[in-house]
Amino acid sequence: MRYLAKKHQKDVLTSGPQSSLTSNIEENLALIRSLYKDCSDLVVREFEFGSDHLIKGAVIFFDGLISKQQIEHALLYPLVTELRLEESVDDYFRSKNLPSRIKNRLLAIAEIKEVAELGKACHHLNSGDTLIMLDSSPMVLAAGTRGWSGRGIDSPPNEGVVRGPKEAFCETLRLNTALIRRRIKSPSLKIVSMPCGKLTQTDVAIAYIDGLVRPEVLKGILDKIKSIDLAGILDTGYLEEYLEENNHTLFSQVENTERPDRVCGNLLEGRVAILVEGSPTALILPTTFSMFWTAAEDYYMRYLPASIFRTLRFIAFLISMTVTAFYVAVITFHHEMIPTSLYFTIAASREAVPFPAIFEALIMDITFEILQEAGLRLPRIIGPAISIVGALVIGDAAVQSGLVSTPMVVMVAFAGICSFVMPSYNAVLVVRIARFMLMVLAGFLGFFGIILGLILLLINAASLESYGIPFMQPLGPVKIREWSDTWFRRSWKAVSGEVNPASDSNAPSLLSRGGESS
Amino acid sequence: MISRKIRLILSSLLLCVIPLLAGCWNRLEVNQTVVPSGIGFDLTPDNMIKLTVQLNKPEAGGKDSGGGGEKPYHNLTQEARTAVEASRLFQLYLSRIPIYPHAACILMGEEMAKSGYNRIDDLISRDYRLRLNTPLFVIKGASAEEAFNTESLLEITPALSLPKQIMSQDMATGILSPKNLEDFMYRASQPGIDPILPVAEIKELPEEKKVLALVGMAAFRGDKLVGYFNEEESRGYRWIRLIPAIEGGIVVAPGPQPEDAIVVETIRASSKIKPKFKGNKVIMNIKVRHEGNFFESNYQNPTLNHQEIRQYEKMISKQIEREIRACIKKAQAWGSDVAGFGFAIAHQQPEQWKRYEKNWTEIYPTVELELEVQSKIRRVYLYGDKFETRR
Repeated sequence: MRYLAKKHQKDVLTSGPQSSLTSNIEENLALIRSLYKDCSDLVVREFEFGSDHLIKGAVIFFDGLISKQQIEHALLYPLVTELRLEESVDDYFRSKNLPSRIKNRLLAIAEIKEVAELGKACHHLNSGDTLIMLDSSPMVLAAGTRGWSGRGIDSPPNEGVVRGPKEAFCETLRLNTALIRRRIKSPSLKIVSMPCGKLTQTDVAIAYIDGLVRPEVLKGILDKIKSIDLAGILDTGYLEEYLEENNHTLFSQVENTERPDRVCGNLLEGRVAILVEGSPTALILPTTFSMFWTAAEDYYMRYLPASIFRTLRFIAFLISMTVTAFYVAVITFHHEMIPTSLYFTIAASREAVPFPAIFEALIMDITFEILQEAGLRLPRIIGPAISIVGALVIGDAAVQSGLVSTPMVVMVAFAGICSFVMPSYNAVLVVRIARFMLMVLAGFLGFFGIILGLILLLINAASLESYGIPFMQPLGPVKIREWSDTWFRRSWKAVSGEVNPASDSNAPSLLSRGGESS
Repeated sequence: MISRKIRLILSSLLLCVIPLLAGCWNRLEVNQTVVPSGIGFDLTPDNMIKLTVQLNKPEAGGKDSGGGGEKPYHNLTQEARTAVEASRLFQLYLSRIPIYPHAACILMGEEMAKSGYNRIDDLISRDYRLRLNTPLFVIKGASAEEAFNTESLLEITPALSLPKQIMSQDMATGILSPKNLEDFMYRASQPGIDPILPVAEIKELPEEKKVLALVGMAAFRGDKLVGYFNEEESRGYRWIRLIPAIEGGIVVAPGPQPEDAIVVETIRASSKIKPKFKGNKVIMNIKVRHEGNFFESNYQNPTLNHQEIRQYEKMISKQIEREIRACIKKAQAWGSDVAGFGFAIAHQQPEQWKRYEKNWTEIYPTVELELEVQSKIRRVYLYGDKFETRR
């Protein structure tokens, strides 16, 4: 509903705090009050301190964003009470640099800054810091007193594993970066942070490992993020489209995950992770095609089963895309492809169905998609109802009503199941859309259509590139040496000799953990 | 000047139209089709082509006819001057289009086979709907139509049964060689080799049930049927050309008394034909290597020692040799080069073939055989010695 906001948008975005702070606290407070007019959650606590002649001061914060205890114990108490007990209290007030003196000698707060500009001060205030204003000083102290209640670390709801860590990112950026830092205890792990979004001023953190990441990739990403001029960034999804080099394709060139271990694994491969305040998903860049069927668990299982299941997932990816199209093509154009006895069965079950196969397939698949979409948005309480009704529309009842044939139900359900094998939701989206495309082509042109569609998809995928890394690498430009982590995964022992983290001259290969020497 | 964007949109729209251009050409829903399980060709006395198609009733599907004793298939026959015409005339009383690639077998009535295939060779060579791997059979002493009117003991239709029969007999007895359309067409068109097809005959079982039984092989000269091999001769042919490879079967060699015999089960066999020339004589050297497992002997108590085994091996080799000679003797009498002797010369010694090509039909009956059969017994199954019963 962006149109609702359109009229005032420009005004809001450009009118940052224009005026600057003065030495007069009354003026400054008036300025803040006018700036934050109608902000009921703003708290301005005025006080006086000193022994002989009292000086006015004020503590300003947003209720709910701060830790009240910290403000009371570490800020207000020393200022209002303890300062009076000091012997040389008058020195304080005679000193030219009152704020810095207070900061250095009085306040027991870990994170504290002197700020001169109103704009910066407002940013601190908005982020949950507490401003300390003192009379006769144009400087403001910003104390890091952030402390809001948020969701804690949970288990990943969408990327579950049997084996491996079961922690997931949450909405608090600092907690998320901590989850990464805890796994990579190295000064080489860099987490660059910058505000993004003109209005929301959301913190965006870019994590990478210095020496492993390709400099041109990092530079490209930073430039892209800097160039974003959205009013608001509420999730990593907002950045995704900016970070992709080509939006007009089915394939997402930015992979996302909610698992810190997966992020760390990718950082070790020389990729870059992007986290956003308020978003429990991290972006991973640059993305390659093989990440579509790579699960975090692959690295925790023994390499042999991991490789087999990875191949299985790739097969499922292909099946999910083509099986309904294949079935439609076979029963409308290529009857001779079906074994005779199976043909009898199909013919018998299709006898009562009045629609052409392609139409039947489309009905079924659209029903299935609707069911999935409904399941996603459904309030928990009416969940069981939809599964009962769902079983009716895509199950035996649909067959008995003569709308669809049994093999079609089997095909559609199989394709659906196969699509859920993908560990990456981006892959699921590709599959779900490409399936329709291929189905229609198969209905018109048979196998020729399927091949045509697959070729188009392949051309499209092969032409993609993100930050100089081809999307299909190392499958696209064939680099068999780098296949150690694609269709299969080589054992850790086999690749361990290749680990060479801190060296920059060794441009890391993107597809082997720890960087294969090139 | 059209802007880039509009041009892009227009061209992508054009791309979307491509599937519509083809317009579902050749689209055929399953509901519009019927599966023929077999196709039969006959020649009527007044020299017309009689085409018989065995159609599975759609409702019957893969299931039984559902009681009532009604057969789950229809046999349609149509006479016409050409086979294609006959197949099209079916459509006058059929609501569905038969999908011929599903035909499990093609049958030739005896009359059709005797008169030659030139009447239908265009159909079987040109029609893309006939699969090259469809098995072919000749019906001995009857027409294809009559063959289709028999019953199948285990399958839905007799046409579905025949191809399975020939595959299973290959494993059990190894008498007949499965032959398909491709092989037939190849042999009919190549010099120095003649077609050979398995033969089925209508047999009457008690309870007045008529079934199709496989009885031997049919030899052709060119495209015309010249005679039937019996069981022994058919086996002989099997040893000469082991394509497709033999899947099993048994060799039965006679013992000293008429009722005595030993049985060896074939595991694998290979053969090689090599033409030799001695003066004006053409000699065919046929090497057969046979491996088998000893199964049965009904005339003595064999201890199955080394010598016994050697003796059995010799008996088996002899038997195989006998079978081959019997086959070639008949084939030479008919002038039908089913073993492909001419073909062997043409491929192995093309220069010599130039000499013989023109009058191969005269030379063929005079070709002499030089057989080198080597049989080996590998295993004796569960029991080493003969199982001794208490007397």
